[in-house]
Parts: sequence; structure tokens; C-alpha cells
Amino acid sequence: MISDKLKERVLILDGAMGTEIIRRAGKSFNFPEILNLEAKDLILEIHRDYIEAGADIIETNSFGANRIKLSEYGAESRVEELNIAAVEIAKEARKGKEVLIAGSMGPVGKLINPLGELSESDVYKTYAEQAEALEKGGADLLLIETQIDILEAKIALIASKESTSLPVAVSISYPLEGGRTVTGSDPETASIAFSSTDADVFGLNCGGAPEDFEEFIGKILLHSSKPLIAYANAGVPEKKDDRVFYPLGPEEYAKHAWKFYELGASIIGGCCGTTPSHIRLISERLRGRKPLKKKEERHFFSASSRNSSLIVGNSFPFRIIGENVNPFGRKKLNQELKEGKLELVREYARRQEKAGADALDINLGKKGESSPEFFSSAIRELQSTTKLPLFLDNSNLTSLELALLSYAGKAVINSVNGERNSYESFFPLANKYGASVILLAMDEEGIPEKAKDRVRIIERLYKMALDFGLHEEDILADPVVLTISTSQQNAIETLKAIEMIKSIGIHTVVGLSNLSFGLPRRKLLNSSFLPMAMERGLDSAILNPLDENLCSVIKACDAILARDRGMRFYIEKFGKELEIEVEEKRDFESNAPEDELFYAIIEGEEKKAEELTKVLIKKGENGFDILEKILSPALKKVGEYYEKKIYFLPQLILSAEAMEKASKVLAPFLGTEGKAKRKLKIVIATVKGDLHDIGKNIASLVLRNYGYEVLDLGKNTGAEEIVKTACSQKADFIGVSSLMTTTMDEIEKVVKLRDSMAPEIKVVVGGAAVTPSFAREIGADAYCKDAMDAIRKIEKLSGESK
Amino acid sequence: MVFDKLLKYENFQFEIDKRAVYSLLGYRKGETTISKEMATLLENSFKEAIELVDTKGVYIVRRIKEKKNGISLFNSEIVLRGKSMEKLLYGSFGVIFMAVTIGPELERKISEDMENGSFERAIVFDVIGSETVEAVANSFNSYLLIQARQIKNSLTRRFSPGYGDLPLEFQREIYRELSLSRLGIEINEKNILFPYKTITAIIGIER
Repeated sequence: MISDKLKERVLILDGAMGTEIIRRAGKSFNFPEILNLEAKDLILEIHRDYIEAGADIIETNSFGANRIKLSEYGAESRVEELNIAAVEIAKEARKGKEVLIAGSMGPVGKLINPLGELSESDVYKTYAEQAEALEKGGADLLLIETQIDILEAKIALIASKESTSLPVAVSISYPLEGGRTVTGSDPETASIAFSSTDADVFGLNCGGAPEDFEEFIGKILLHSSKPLIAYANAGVPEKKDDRVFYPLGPEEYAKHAWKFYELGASIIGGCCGTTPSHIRLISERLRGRKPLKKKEERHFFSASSRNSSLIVGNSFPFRIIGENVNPFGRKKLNQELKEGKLELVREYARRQEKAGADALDINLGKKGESSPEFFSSAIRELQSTTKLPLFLDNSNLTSLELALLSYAGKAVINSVNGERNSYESFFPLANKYGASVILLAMDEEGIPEKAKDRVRIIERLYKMALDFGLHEEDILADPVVLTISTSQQNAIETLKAIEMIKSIGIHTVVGLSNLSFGLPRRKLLNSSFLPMAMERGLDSAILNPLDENLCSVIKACDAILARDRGMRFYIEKFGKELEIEVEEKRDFESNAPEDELFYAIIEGEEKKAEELTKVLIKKGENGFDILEKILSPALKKVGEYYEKKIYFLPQLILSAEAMEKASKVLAPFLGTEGKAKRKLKIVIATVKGDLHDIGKNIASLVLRNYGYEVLDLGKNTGAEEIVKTACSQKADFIGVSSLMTTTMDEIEKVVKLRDSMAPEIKVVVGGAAVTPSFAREIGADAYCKDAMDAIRKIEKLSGESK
Repeated sequence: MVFDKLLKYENFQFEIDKRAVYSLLGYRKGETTISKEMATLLENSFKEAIELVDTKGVYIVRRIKEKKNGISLFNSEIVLRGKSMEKLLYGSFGVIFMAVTIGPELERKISEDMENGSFERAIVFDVIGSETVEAVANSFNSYLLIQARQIKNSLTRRFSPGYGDLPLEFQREIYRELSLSRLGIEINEKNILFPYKTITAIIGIER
């Protein structure tokens, strides 16, 4: 129903419920949902105002009406009552109007094990109960919103789908800095996690500023082809007189809403702090418009974990899937697994991640196959050990299902083959959990010898996968690598198969190490085969990431085969290394603000310097004393550090910036005694014929930071222009530089011209070609070795002239 | 090598000499100590700068006509005069005019940083920009060398206007010869190119 409507036009969602209640209620209440019974009219009025403003969808007042949340108020037994009441009010409000009712379901307020105390089934039951109540009441769709953990949202989705027949929308909130959920997922990762689930609508709300939403929407649409829902807060809340308020008015918010539309959102409304006036304006601007086409064709494979994603495809670097968590041929691991321990598993996972793996294959051998609980608890633990996406290498349906239920993100099922009981059980499983799959070129009769027969199985499986509802981005194909110790023809057939599979547009993976089984120098064989396979189009492989040589070969092949755009990764890995000594931050053990200010300048901490200066002023310190006894000595110290090369340029500049901030605070307090010194003015340039201006730029910057007024004329500047400008601007100094011996004459011209036009202006000179004796000879006032030297000389000269 | 045809390249592969950048910023190994924050700022600046550069290069090869009263060329009005050119092109039968640029974005960012008071990053970007255009010129240069070697020719070193007795004004002639306006490069009355981080040069081709 909702998806049909969306084909025709954008739908307007209502605005905030919670903040509206607080704004209108004027009295305290236990929790918002209780108002469905105690202050029905208030809720009714809010709904009516939103409908009147133009909302196509209104949300029930049931955000926190789930068992876990309600138990905080001792109301856990009233789930059904409160949700049904919520829908009843909404139904009464829309009477006679064509408005959809969305049953709102917010987070349960606690996290799932191991991040929190809840089990997956606690969460499942909680959402199922609320979803059933909302359906019973008569909601038209369910809106799982403001979700802060993608695993909770995923379980909520599955529970809603399995216990009701309503369309379900999932909306995630990214309140943390840099656009992350509370448990650390970014919009792209979350979008991948839901791209292949059967959520009917996917999107975002609440957390982050509306302008951040614009960036987030772009990232979500890279992966999601579902209708996108977007409703932001009316700006980032601010506090004023102990009351929280949202800064964006209807007009400002509507501008953002329009942007959401332009970017491709098709359900648009408001979250916290928005009001019927906000919604009215959005409705006026967007009503009747068709959703904009937004998604480009995707041609890559995707998987994700809670905090990272895996993209496999032609134009992406070759992906390394770590093979080491597999007891086959690993005695110690095998023994540990038999004992039901996971220490080595976790250590292997960590090591492979550190070595640069992009994802990990998890095979727990017999134990993993026979004990679903063991497998799923391992997957749960591994998710807090590594941030990499996991490939679930298991053929037991129950093991897989339990693991998928506890998996935050889009897992990969390894693998589905051409046997009937394999594809008939695993494809629906992948579909239900939105997981990806590896198709294995094998059927009832085993692994065909010839490439064309393997490809035939893959093709058949690929079509079936699509029929089962999977998408291109959910599918990788494995043409199977066999050991060449049994038949040398094996590798050749695999290479052929890779090429054929790629030519029909399916992305590929192989288990590499089988190739060399039973042969000497296995690593040599593996690393020789891989470039050939990559050249045929292989996109990824399950291999040993700890094999450094192999990983280097992969980086090199990525560069050669143009998978590594701009050869970024190659150069990053193999480019010249530069060892930089990094100093740990100094722990400063004094609470005296005087000392702290001194060090704030030395360490270049602008904000701290500013604050501390304010503190000192408040304390009644004399402004002049602060300047003379703290700030100036600190900056002098920084200068010394720079001269001694203990500091390098950026540090010097940071300190000078901190000094400037502090000085600004001081300025009004310097009184008559420090009657702000007139800023010295200096005209600076690189002479005619010379384009080398790095040194001049540095000097110009440092002078400016030290409080001089600098007029930078740039490079290749004629003597006349320099001196004339200095005259007309009434400058105190001229600074000129030259790198090349060929342009040194120009410096002399500047000095001569100064002598005749404005003898009162001092000229200081510098640059690679210039020497102190040259400076003396041509009659310059000073030679400066570098920027700091310039400051010293200029200070000296200006002192003399007074 | 193809003569008399203007050839353009984009998206160069290059490596910035981090050592040079650090040393230009005043870093001395064993003496300078850098805070973690500063090290991060630098590393991030390298990454950001790479995102911001849009490398482009263009060159044209001309055959030398005569070496009397300066060096004249076929199909070009340019005459190369002076001792520097005489010396550089002594054994050459052809001349390459080349230019590379890293585009305007990084410079835009630098001026933005200057306005916002993020001087420390501006200076880091400025130095990175200079090193980048140098690296791009080197990369372009080696590409040309490989081309020359295929036909058993070799190249002289690269020579830019402003050095020796080749005046900076010559930049304008190269600008015209390579139609640099089409790469979005501008030149002002002081013969300075925008983006600043642009290099023009002359290379001789020898047998």
C-alpha cells in the first residue's frame, strides 16, 4: 500500500510527538505513553494539528511502549493496552481523511549481549509483542525508529515481519560525532546491513544536525534501493535557562527537508523539536511531487559488520578474507575447539585483522557443525574481538540461523552449492536475515572437472538466488581451487572458470590454499597462482593474511591491474618510510592558572590559552603583567625551541596563534600603561624573476602570527612596486627574498630605490642565495637567516629607531 | 615521439616525498620532537591533500629547425635564446614543452585555512602542494623519458623559465604554445601562473 503510493508521490510524515507533548502538557506525567489513557485529548489534538498541517503519515504515541522500557515504570503488563490505545487515538484523529498510521517503535533502552545484558530472544519477543499490539489496534505500517544499534533494529525488523503482516520501515539514528550510531555504525555500514533485508522502507532520523543528514543520505543511497525515510531534529538542541530548545524554525528546517527530497528521500517529516508549523511548510513545498530517481546501478558485492563494510568488485582492490580460523591442518586450534575454548580463535582473528585482512572466514570444524550454540556464541564473541565482516563457514542450518540472529550487519554464508537441500534451505535463510552468499561450483555429483560444467552450476545457482529474492550485491561465486598435486589440469580449469564467471558479471572468490596441498614450498605456488587468477578477474580470495609476500604480491597486482585507484595503497605500503619521533603528551602537574597558561602557549592550545587568560583577568591579575610575565616569556621559549629545532614550523605557528587568542582577551585590560603598541607594518615580497616563495610565505606567516601587519606582494615582484607600496602604505619595513643567484641583483635594486625614495624604511633581506656579507655590501639594514631571525632583527631595528 | 601534437594526461601516479615536506617545515631528525596531535595533523594533511589534487599535464614536441641567432623550431614561432638554452639543447634535434598542474582545489583550501586562522594547516598544505607538483613533474618527466627510450632517444634535464638566463617572461610563450588556458590555468601580467602549483619546462630530445 505504502510502496504503491510512493511510486506516485512523496509522502509527508508528521513532526515530533515527545517535544510537542512537553510543550503543550504543562504538567508532569509518569511517561509519555500513559497519556494515551490519561490525556487522550492532548494526543488527539497533536495528531489533528499534524494532519491539518498536511501530514500523510502520523506516528502513534507508542515510541517507548515496549515491555522492557515500560518495566522502568512498573507498567510492563500494559503493553497491549497502551499500544492499542495509541492507535485508537490516531484513528480517531484521521477520521474521514486519507492518512496512514505508523506504529512507532523506539529502542528498548538496553543493549544486547555482549555490549549489554539482553539476549537476542529478549529483544525479539519485546518487539514482536509491541508489533502485534499495534497491528491489532489497526496501524497501517510499523516504524522501527531512532535505532541506535543495527543488531537491535535487525531483530526488531525480523520480529515485526514474522509476527505481523504489516509493511515495516526501519530508521537509524546517528547521534555520535562523525555520524555514527551509539554502537559505532556509520550510515554506509548500516545501509549495507539492511540493503537485502525485507524492510520496506529504510532511512534515518533524530541524531545529527539536519545538514549532516544530507551527507548521510548520499551514503545510504550508495547501497539501499528501498524508499528512503528522513526526518531530522529541528537543529542541534541548545540549553537555555535549564530548558532545552531546538534552534531551527519552520523556514530553515523546510530548506533542509527540500534538500532531503532533492537527494532522493521519499518520506519526509520532522523529529524532535519540529512542530505542526514545520510540517505545514514542508507539505506546502513537497506535496504532490514525485520521488526523484536516486539510485545508480550497483555492480559490486557487499557485506558488513557492525563497524565496517566489505565491498567486492571490478574497480575495487582485491579483497583478502582471512582463512586462519579453521581447524583443518591446525592441531592446536583443533584441540582447543574440541575443548570448547575460543582463545586461539580470538587471537587468530585479531592477528589477521592487524595483518590487513578485509574480512574473516570462520570455520569451527566439527564442533561448529554439530553444536549450533557453540558456533553462534563464537560468532557473538568474535564480533567484539574484530571489527571485520565475517564469513560463516558452516553447513548446519541451525548453526547458521543462530549465528545470523546474533550477527550485527550483513554476514556472508559460506557456502551454498548445487545440491537441492543446500540451496532450498540456505537461500531463504539469507533472504530472511539479509545476508550474502557464496555460490560453490559443486552439486550432487561433486565438483566437475571441466570449467564449463562448473560455470553451468554457478549460473543455475545464480538465477535461483535471484528468484529467491537475493540481489546481485549479495552473491559471490567460488569456482573452486583444487590441489594440483592430483592433477595439473586443475588450476587451468579454475582459471578458465574464473574468466567465464566474470564474463557473465558475477563477482568471484576462491579458497586459495587448496592449490598447493601436499606439495613443497606451498607459499611459492600460492603466490604464483594468484596473479594469474587476478588477471582473469578474480576479485577476492580466502587466504592467509599473515603471508607477507602474498599480500605484497596482491598490492602489486592491484596496482598493475588498475584496481588500486591512483596506486594509493601501493604507495602507502611501499613508498619511502619516514620515521617520525612522536612525543607523548606531557602531563603537567600544576593547577596554578599562571603556569597552565604558560604551557598552553608553549603547546599551542588556543582554547585553553584563551580560557586561562579570562580566568586570570577575573582573578584580578593585571593585564600588563599577564602579557609581560607569562605570554611573552612563553612565546620566547617557543622561539628558542624552534631555533634549536626542537619545534618545527607548524608547532611554532600554533603557539603564535594561541598567543594571539590570549592577547585579544587581554587587549581591553591593558589600560593606559600598555596603550596597545601600534602594529609594525611590513611589506614583504620575493623579487622579480624569482618564483620560489616557500621561505617568504613562512616568514610572512610567522610575522603575522607574532603581531605584525604584513602586506605580502607575492613572488616575481618588481623593485619599484615593492618600494612604492611600502611608501604609500607607510610601512616600517620591507622584507625581500631571493632563492637564486640570478635574481640577487633585484634585491640590490630594492635597497637603492629605498635609499632614494624613502630612506626611513628599513630593508631586511633573506633567501637561500643571500649571505650576511652580501646584505652588508648592498646596504640592507639586516640579513635574516629564517623567520625567527627576521623577528629578532626587526625587533632590534625598531628598538633602535625609537 | 609524436611531433607537433598537443597531448594531455590526467591522474598521474606519484609519490610525495614526505621527507622533503618535513624538512621544509623545519623538522630535523633526532632533534625535533612532535606531539601525537601534530603527527596526526600531518598524516591527515597528506591524505586530504591527495584527495584535493587534480593532476593534469600537457606537452608538445617540436623539431629544431636552426641553431643560428637563437634556436628556431618547425611549426612554432618560439625562438629559444640565451646561453642556458644553447647549453641545454646543444645536442638536441627536438624540444619538448611541458606543463603540469595540481589544479586549484588545494590552493582554495589553503586560502580558506588562512582566512579561518588555521595557519598551521595552511602552511603544511602549501609545502605539500609544492612537493606534489614537483612529484607530478617528475612522474611526467619519466613518462616522457620512457617514450623517448623506446625509439632509442634520450632526454636532457628539465629546465624551467626563471633559471639561468631564461627569463620568467618565457613562461608566457610556453603558456601560448601549450594552450594552457584550456587546462584552466591562468597567467597574470607578472607572468605568474594560477594555480600557483604549476610547473612549465623545456626538455631537449637527443639521439
